[in-house]
Amino acid sequence: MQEDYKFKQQVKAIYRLMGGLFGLFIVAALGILFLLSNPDWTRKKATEVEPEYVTIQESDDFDKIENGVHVRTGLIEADGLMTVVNNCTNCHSAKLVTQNRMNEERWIATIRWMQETQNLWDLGGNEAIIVNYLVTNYPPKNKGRREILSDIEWYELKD
Amino acid sequence: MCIIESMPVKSLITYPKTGAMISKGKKLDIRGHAWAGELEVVQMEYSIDFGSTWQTCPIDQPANRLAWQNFNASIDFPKEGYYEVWARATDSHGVSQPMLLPGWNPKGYLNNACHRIAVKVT
Repeated sequence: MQEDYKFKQQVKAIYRLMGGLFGLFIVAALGILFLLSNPDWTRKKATEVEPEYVTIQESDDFDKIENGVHVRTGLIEADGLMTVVNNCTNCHSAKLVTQNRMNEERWIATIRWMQETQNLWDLGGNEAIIVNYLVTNYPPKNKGRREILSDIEWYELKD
Repeated sequence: MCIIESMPVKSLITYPKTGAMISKGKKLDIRGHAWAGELEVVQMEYSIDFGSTWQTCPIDQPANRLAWQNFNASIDFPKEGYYEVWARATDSHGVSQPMLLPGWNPKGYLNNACHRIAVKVT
């Protein structure tokens, strides 16, 4: 009798445990279903922001020429200026051009060097325009001697 | 064309800026830096008469090998007028700076001509 009673108690315990687990499973399943259908329920409602559109004034003086010089780059205004601006100043400062003085052969050699080592593209028909511009406006100058000081901005030296 | 293997001796007047006007009787304090590639600057001179005469002025030891060296001078001008202050450094091989641009080239490589500033005494 004792054995029988003990067995019944054990069956009941297992039965209760199974019931509990089943209950938990149901609750979890419902929870997951709810989350699947409303994935954003924990997230805060973001206040709708109207995107602001700003109209940028297209400036007219982007390619302004002042005193015969292209202001944006400092290059001299002459035939082929914009071809030079478009092909040269994409990659480097125009100063790299304006600080130089070369003859046709050396300007072409410089272009070849940039094409061989610096990924400069094939200039095609623009090459003649560019070289002509450079040779005309940035030719070698014969000045070996020292010029006198000029363009001195005088100022009062205070202690 | 050849490879640049060493920097020639050179100096710069860093104060005052060119174009300084001072009143007569006042001393002009100048200062600047000098260097000589892998060598040392052993002598520093300045001239206020376009190179006719040169006065030596103090030059500091370099803080470490190859470092710039500082120089300074206090200059008296004899009378009113336009002056140029020229600076000339001499390296430990006895080589000093030229007054004309040596080997002129478009980018100014190796240009170690004397630096000069304009000064007006009024």
